[in-house]
Parts: sequence; structure tokens; C-alpha cells
Amino acid sequence: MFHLAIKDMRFSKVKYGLIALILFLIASLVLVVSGLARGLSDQNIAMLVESEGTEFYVSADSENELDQSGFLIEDLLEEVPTEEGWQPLITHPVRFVHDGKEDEKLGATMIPVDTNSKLYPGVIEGEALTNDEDLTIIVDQTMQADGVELNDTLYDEETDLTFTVVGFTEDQTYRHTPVVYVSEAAFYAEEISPNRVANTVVIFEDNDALKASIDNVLSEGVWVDKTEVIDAVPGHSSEQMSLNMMIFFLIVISVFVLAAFFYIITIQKLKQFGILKAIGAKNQFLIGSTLMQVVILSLFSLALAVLFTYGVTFILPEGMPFDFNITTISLYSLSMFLVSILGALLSSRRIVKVDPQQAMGGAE
Amino acid sequence: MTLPLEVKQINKRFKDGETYIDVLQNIDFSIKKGEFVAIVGPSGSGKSTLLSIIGALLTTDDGDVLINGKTVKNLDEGQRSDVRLNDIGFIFQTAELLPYLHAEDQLDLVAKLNKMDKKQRKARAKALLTDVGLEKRRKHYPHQLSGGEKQRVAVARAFMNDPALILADEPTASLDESRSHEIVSLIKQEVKAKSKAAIMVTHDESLLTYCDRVFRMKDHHLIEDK
Ligand SMILES: Nc1ncnc2c1ncn2[C@@H]1O[C@H](COP(=O)(O)OP(=O)(O)OP(=O)(O)O)[C@@H](O)[C@H]1O
Ligand SMILES: [Mg+2]
Repeated sequence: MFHLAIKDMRFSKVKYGLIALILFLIASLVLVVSGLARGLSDQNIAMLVESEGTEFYVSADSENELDQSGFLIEDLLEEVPTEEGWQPLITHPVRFVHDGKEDEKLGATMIPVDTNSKLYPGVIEGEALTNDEDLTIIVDQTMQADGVELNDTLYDEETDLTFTVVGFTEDQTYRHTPVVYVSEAAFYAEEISPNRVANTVVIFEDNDALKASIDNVLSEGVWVDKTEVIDAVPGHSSEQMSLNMMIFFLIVISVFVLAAFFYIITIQKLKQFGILKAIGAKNQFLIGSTLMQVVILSLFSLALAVLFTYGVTFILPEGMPFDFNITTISLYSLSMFLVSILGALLSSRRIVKVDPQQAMGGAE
Repeated sequence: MTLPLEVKQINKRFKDGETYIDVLQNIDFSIKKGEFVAIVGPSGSGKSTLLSIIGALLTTDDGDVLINGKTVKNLDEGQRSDVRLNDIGFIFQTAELLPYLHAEDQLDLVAKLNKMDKKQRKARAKALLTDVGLEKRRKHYPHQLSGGEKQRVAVARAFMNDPALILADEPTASLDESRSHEIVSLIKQEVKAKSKAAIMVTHDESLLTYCDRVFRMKDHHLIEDK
């Protein structure tokens, strides 16, 4: 079965090569498009995805949307010290002037942080943030695509403050902007916010007693988990939906394209199948050989498509979001594989229906 | 001693719209080992139909076919497929080889379907191709062989699984006169050497000299020349 499949494909290299090419192109399209779309949608939520926070206390009327939620936390800080296991999270939108370019302001999300807390992500390049009142910041590395380098300064017109970039962090983006971490001490010393406020209160493990005491002090809020907060980030759900729709349709289209190709190949070989049946080959054997060819072709093309997609991550311009994620790649590759098997199975009905008597002269 | 082929009182009719057309009526004959038999008759007289029934490609309405003493009646599709694989060697009007296999692999395939072990397959294929005069063409693909050579490969393939019965439906239809005589004498040579039973349908009366017995299809009946 295997040898027959291979010999046939070796003999008709061009024909099978073309099918392999089509399969490769469709698979690459699915993988690259999903990588780009996922990368883009990650820019909206990466900061939350990477966060160690497990549950978030948000205003009851905020529909879990962080930007619509807010608390004054002076009392909370006094009554329940943060050492008990919670942190305030503030997302403060800013627009920086970099390198004197007034008309090309860089949008970012500023988050004040206690560097000893679990909200602090650490740096991958440069120096760590310190808990003093210096106007130093660490920024997400996507800012490098905008030309921001270590020790550059970023000027915020609204507060008339100039910050120095001391380090870069990664996977810290929120609402399609890079996140900029500044020390909590500096944030309040400069009165960027006049009062101690927070969009949400974050805890890092499920602790009913802690949740109850925070709820006691703040009230008018609810505890929700991380996925609920992520789903409520504006745009995220619709981005996910259009991404999934796109992939779904690409896969549906490939079912039809592949089924059509395999069908044509099968039709071309019906006479051969008739002869083979007449001299004693069974349906099982003939369908087996055909499926074997499809398995070989798809494994080959899919492997190439995965390699190609991996290659694409290197040639994409810097700052272009792309997510080469093993789980999604394997998931889509597996679906493409099953889709081609399905396409081939559709034409196996024709193999079963071939009448071996047609081999005998006169019946045709 | 069991006969390689016994045909018992076969009737076959085809439905043609509202009416039936009788094609075969009371066909009854048998063949011994080493006998090479010809069937002749006008076009449309039912020769291919008869060969299809004998070859377990088509079922009969009445009567029975015994191959090596075993009935073909009431066998399911898979069992009939096994009968064709093990007990019958087919030679068609054209060689009907697979374009992507060279001569030796054409023979290898049918033996492999029959689960013959590799050593035996190789030895048999080589011996048979030598018998049909193609020892130097073993690795040639169909498109590298002449029409006569392709038909020789087909003859060798028919003998590959050591069947009791060889069925050839106009095996020379696509060949010129001298090739036709070569192929038929080749079939005769193998039938005699390996002591098989063989039936050949032909339109070419000049080929009948190679055959031991001649049957004629006439008015749905099969009548032997005396
Ligand atoms: N499946 C079928 N359905 C209906 N009629 C059929 C079928 N197969 C064959 N026939 C009819 O049966 C008759 C015998 O056909 P067959 O092919 O056996 O003739 P033949 O003797 O082999 O002719 P030729 O010498 O031209 O090959 C023909 O009239 C043909 O039309
Ligand atoms: Mg015929």
C-alpha cells in the first residue's frame, strides 16, 4: 500500500507536487494570518495575560472593564495593608513626545508599581526600576520599533514631566499601546494622580477572607477572575471573533479546494482502480493507498508551512505583532490535516462504486 | 480429479427498459488442465458476458460456475475478489498496466496482494518475465515498452499468482498480425508448460490453430466445433 502510493507519486511528480504546493500555500495562509491576527489581538491584552493576578475587584457598574472601574483606596491601605496579598492596579494613558517629535506622540499606558510586588514584570534589558522618587521608567520593548533606546527621555506634555528610560520589559502591552512602568513613589510624589486611586484591586491567590475584607472597605464592587477582565477589554472579544471567523472560513474553503483536487485525481484513476479490482485488489487496499498519499502529502506540506511561518517571524518588520504559538500552530495544522483526510474520504465513495467488470472488453 | 473449470447450465439476461434480453442460455461445458480453449462468435453475442461470469466479475441468473471444484455462487464481494486474485489470471484487450510501475513491479503487485513473501515474488517475477522474453526489460515502465511487450507483461502478470484458470478477452485486439500470433503462442506455451486451463475470446480465426478446442456462440448457446 505504502510502496504503491509512493511509486505513483514519484511517477507523477508534477501533479502531486502541485497539490502539495496548494496545500502548503493554504496552510501557510492559515498559519501566517492567524499568527498576525493573534499577535495584534495580544497587543490589546498581553499585560493582563502575563499578570500574576488571579482575581480583580472591579466596580459593580463597570461591566468588568478596567477603564470604567475606579476606587479611592486611602482607607483600604490603612485598614488592610498590601502585605496581606493585594495590589492596586492603575492604568493611566499617556502620550509621550520623544526626540522632539511634537507631531508624532507615542501613546502608552503608564502603570505605577511597587517593584517588590507581583505586578512588577522585571526587565529583559537595561536596569531594573527602583522604588525611589526618580523619574525613571521601564517600557515595553515594542517601543524600540519607534526608536526608543536606553537612557532616552520621554516628555509628557500634560504633566510637564520628563522620564528617563532605564530598561525594557517584554509582553507588556495593553489596549494596543506599550506599558510603561514607573515607581509608585514617583507617581504619587509628582501628583500625577492627586489621590490614592486604583482602577482595580488585584489579588494573587484565591483567598476568601482577604476578598471579604477588601469588599468590606471598598464596597460597590465585585470580584471577577482574570478571563472575565480580559474578555471585557474593549475590542478584544470582537477581535477574537473576527479572527476565529477568518480561520473558520479559510478552513472551510480548504475543505472544498482539497476535496476537489483529490476528487479529480481519483476520477482520473477510476479505470486503473477498475483493473486493479478485476485482478483481485479490494476496496480497502485502494482506499488505503489513496489515503496514504494524502497523509504523505499533507504531512510534507504542513511541515513546510510551519517552517515557512517560523521563517516569516524573522523577516517581519520590527514592531509588527506576530504570535508564533506552538499550541495554536499545532491546533491549526491538525485541523488542516484532518480536513485533507476528510477531502480524500469524500472521493473514496467513487472508488467503492467502480465496477471491476468494466475491465472486461465490451462492457464499456 | 477436480477440473479447473466447470460451467453448469448458465442463463443470463439483461434488463433493457421494460423487456429482458437473453444473452446466455444453458451454457454448459468444462475444461481440463492444460487445455487451451477458444470462444468465437459475432459481436454482441455474449462472449465477454460469459467470460465475466466465469471470472467472478458478474453473477449468473441460474446455474453455477465451479473453479477448481469450488462454487462461485453465493460468495460476497470480498470472497469473489479473493477468487479472482488466487484462482484466475486475466488478460484484457489492452495490457492495462499501471503507468507508474516497471515490468517487474507490475508482477510484484499482484503477488503482494496475495501475500506472497518477498523472495518468492522476486524469483517468480524474474522467471516469468524471462519466459515471455522480457528479461532485459524488467525495469522498463509501460511508456518505455512497445504494445506487444506490454501485452507480454500482462501475460506474465496473469500467471504470477499461479492461478488454475486463465481468461483472455480478445488479447490481440490491439496488436498487428505477427504480434498477435506471438502473444497467442506465448499464452499457449505457458498454459502447456504450467498445465493451466485457459479460455481465449477472439475474432481472429487464424489464431484458432493454437487452441485445443473451439466453441462458437450462436443464438445464446455455446456450441463446440467437432
Ligand atoms: N450491463 C449490461 N446491461 C445491459 N445489457 C448488457 C450489459 N452488458 C452487456 N449487455 C448486452 O449483452 C450483449 C452481449 O454483450 P457482450 O459484451 O458479452 O458481447 P461480446 O460477445 O463480448 O461482443 P464483442 O465481440 O463486441 O465484444 C450485448 O447485446 C450487450 O448490449
Ligand atoms: Mg466482448
